[in-house]
Amino acid sequence: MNNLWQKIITNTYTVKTLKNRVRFLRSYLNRAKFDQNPNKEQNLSPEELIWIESLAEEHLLDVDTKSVSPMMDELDEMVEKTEALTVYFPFDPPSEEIDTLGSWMRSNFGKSELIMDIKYDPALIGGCALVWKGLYRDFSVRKKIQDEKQQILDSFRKYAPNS
Amino acid sequence: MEVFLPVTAIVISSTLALIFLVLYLKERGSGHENLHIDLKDLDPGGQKNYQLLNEAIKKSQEMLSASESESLKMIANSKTNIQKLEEEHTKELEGYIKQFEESIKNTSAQVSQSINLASSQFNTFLQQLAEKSQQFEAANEQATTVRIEKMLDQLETKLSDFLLESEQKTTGAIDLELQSTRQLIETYKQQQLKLIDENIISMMERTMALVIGKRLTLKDQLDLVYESLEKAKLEKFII
Repeated sequence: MNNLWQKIITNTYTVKTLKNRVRFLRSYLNRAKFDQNPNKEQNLSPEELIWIESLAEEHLLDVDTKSVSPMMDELDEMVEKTEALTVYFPFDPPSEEIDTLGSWMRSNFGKSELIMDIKYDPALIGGCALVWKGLYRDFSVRKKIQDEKQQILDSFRKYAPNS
Repeated sequence: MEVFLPVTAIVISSTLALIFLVLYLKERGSGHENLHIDLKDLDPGGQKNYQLLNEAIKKSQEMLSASESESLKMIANSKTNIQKLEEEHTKELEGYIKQFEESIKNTSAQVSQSINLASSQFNTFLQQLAEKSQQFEAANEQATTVRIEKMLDQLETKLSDFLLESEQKTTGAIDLELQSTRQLIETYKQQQLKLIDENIISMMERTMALVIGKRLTLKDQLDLVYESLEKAKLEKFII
């Protein structure tokens, strides 16, 4: 079970992807273990199918029919328990960049199972804002502008007629 | 006068009583005269009784005549007495009237004298009162004049002080008001400037978000994100 979880979490970087993958896995196992015609084509995308098959190749899905449901319930529970870092971006990052960012965060923040909950905030202009353990911190360009507000206003005042 | 009336009434009533008595006895005597009985028809006892009766009648007739004469005398005396009483009463009454008239005259004279005296005293009093009133009026007029002059002086002084004080107060109040207004204007100015500054920053942020945010390339955006993450790492935001 832990091996399966480790395998899943290693290359999964967002809460959304994690939940989707667990759902796909449940669907795949149900069809594989309980369907009358298991060789029937499944409704999974090629990437999903490749990812699931990589798990199967490592014999991580070798479970009997009775263990499927408890195993998936345990996986759901672990997903719920996973602490996520909420990240606000002012743009919509591509999935490959998300993986790179996730990998960077895990290695730089020292959290091997760090999962991102990605949200969109165009007012940030650039950079990002983070929420960790309920605490919000803005590291964006907007925050930089606010921090340097006085300098910016002073530079504007130089052009004012009665300054 | 009131004393004589009952006496007169007694005399008159006693006279009338005597007259009625005489008349009664006469009537009775005439009745006995009819009692003429022949002695021969009577026995010796009866004759004796008859003689005794006649004697009694005679005696009674004598008594009656005596009483008549007495009553007549009494009537005559009573008339005389009444006349005397009336005369006495008249005299006494006249005396009383004279005394009363004299006392009235005396009293009238005294009253007249008293009135004269009171009138003269009253006139004197009125003269004194008029004099005193004139004196009081003069004194009052003088005192009022003095008081009015004093009040006018005080009023002038107080008015002068009041005007000076109100001038000072007004000047002070105007200064304060001016100061307060200047402060208010300054505060308002600062608030407005702060608001303008906020608006400038807000406008800047929105403009940048709309223009620069869209103009930035993915690489630029990712560079900024990594810069933010580096900052978070430096601040040890994620522990």
